[in-house]
Amino acid sequence: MDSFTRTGGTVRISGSGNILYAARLSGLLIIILLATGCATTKSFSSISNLRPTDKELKIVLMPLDVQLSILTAGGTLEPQAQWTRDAKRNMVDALDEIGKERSNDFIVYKEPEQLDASARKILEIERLHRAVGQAILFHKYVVPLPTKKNAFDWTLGPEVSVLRKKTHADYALFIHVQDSYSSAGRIFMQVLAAGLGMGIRGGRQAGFTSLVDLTTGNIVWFNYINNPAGDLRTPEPAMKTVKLLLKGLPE
Amino acid sequence: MFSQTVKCTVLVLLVAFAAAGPAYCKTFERLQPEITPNYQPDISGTEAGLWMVFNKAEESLKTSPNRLKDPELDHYLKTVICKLSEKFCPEIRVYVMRMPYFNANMAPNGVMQVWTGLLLRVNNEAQLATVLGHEMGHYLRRHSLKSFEDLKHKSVLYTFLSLGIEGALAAGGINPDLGYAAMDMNRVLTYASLFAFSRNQEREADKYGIQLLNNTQLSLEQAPVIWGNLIAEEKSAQHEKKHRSIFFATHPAPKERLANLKEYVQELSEEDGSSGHDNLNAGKYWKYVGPHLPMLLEDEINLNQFGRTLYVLRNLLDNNIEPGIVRYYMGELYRRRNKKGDIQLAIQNYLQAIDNNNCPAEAHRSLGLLYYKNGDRASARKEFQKYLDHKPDASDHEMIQFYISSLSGDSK
Repeated sequence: MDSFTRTGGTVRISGSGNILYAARLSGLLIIILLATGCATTKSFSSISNLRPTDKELKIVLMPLDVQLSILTAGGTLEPQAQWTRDAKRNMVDALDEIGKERSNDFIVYKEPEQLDASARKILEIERLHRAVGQAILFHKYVVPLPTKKNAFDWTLGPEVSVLRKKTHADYALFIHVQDSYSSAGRIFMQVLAAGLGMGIRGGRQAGFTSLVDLTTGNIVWFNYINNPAGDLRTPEPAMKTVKLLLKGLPE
Repeated sequence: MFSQTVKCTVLVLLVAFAAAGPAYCKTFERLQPEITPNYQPDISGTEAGLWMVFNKAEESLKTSPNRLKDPELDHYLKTVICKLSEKFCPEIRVYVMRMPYFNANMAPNGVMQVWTGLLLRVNNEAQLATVLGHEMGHYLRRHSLKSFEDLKHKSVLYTFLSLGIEGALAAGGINPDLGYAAMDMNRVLTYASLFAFSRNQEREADKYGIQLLNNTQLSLEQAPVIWGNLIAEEKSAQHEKKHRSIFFATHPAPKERLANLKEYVQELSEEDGSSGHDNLNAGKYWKYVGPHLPMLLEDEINLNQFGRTLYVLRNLLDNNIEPGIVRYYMGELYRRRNKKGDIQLAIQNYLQAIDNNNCPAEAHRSLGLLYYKNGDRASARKEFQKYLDHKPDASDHEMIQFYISSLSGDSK
């Protein structure tokens, strides 16, 4: 392993990085979870039915936490703004369609231009979700916690009620995806490595989705996807990925 | 213009007479910005990708618990940035972060962070503008983008090297995929921070900073002073290796830097006779930073780095900044170190603090504790009482009251 990524967060430089320090773990966890093969999903749920009563159900879609990158020959991920923009648009369209099929129930949260106190709180909740999601990935899929063997009881806490007040939704759906595509140089390296009998990974899709109960803050459903194929840049494959992300979402 | 020519001629003549070899008059060669105001990168390129990542990071910065939220201070910093470059100031967003180390940084999308440890070590607006100008130099010359491009090329080499390591892992029965744990978005981020800017980029930013400073009425002479102070602070902390300054860990060759800066200042001064560049604006600077001084010093002192902190405090006293507050913290510094003779030094500092305005009530409490330690029960009681008089709603009111009552009785 290279020495750069292992250096801790204590080194702060007149560069640009420390503001991003917190994001570091996410990729690491996702990569640990990667195995070769075809698209896989694995979900956990603590509820089977979202509608215990007859009342109308609403799920608010949180801003998509999505990033598309080129995997360069050297393994550096180069974030792509245009692809990311297109991917988000395709995903929103796909979610819209799926929402219609679900007879209901999706509404979209839009961050206001001027951040008021509750909008700030919601931003914090989005970041909290990312952190909790990573904890779930790590402890449910990689290193199980002895205290959580059979339990699935992660929560964002009751402060999520601010989101309920703002949107009048019962649940919030959070989606996090990192999607990378091999550059020509990377493919060359892969071929070269294969010739030497070694494997170098190419681009892939990895992500997780969670459904949060906006009364309790509990994560009632969680799904992780790992997909070496897939392409969010164009509508049809994007629909496939979104379906994978929502596979097993309780009705 | 005329005077410059004359000076040069004289210099050329002198040098020509004095020695063989090339003689020249160095003039300040101005750097040009690589971006235009309100620049937006082409969405399909690498730069737009970097901006996307940093725009997202800025969202986190806005609500970061480490952010020092003081709109007046933010506005003041912004006005200094606008003095440096009226053209580019609207797009630069500045965030003050509560981090007790000397640092500032600049992201490719125009987000600037200024750390509180820097504010504590800057004596006036001219010094502040030097650092802000340096950071703007990184932005205007697109250093982040260049670093990233450079990194991409370097990492190809890295991959070739790692093929060997991977072979070893595979031979040892370890899934090479795990070796890639390090590779993802986090790597981009880590690289962005660890590689940061190259030495040459730092030099260029220094130069650009001075060039921008020259747009203002602020003293150019202050530019080298701040780096000089940092070198001195570093020296004062020689015995505290574990407290090596972050700044020096990343910015090489401070002495070379200092020399370069002096040279730039010299060149610019010769150019326009250094007229109109004598403002320090210390009063203005402390008007906005001063209200945070107790917090900045509290954070500094909690780092437990005696030599360095002592230097910072002395520097503040030399500049006559809030002696009532600064002396109190100097007292705290000695009291906490508690080596031989430190108690006496601490007491002296507290007494001086009390003689000045804005001394924190806690000076009386600390004095009380030290008198108590020294066995001077009457003085201890008096100081504890003063503490409570000055701060009736103190959170440790009950405890201090207990001290007072236990000191009130006849000595046991």
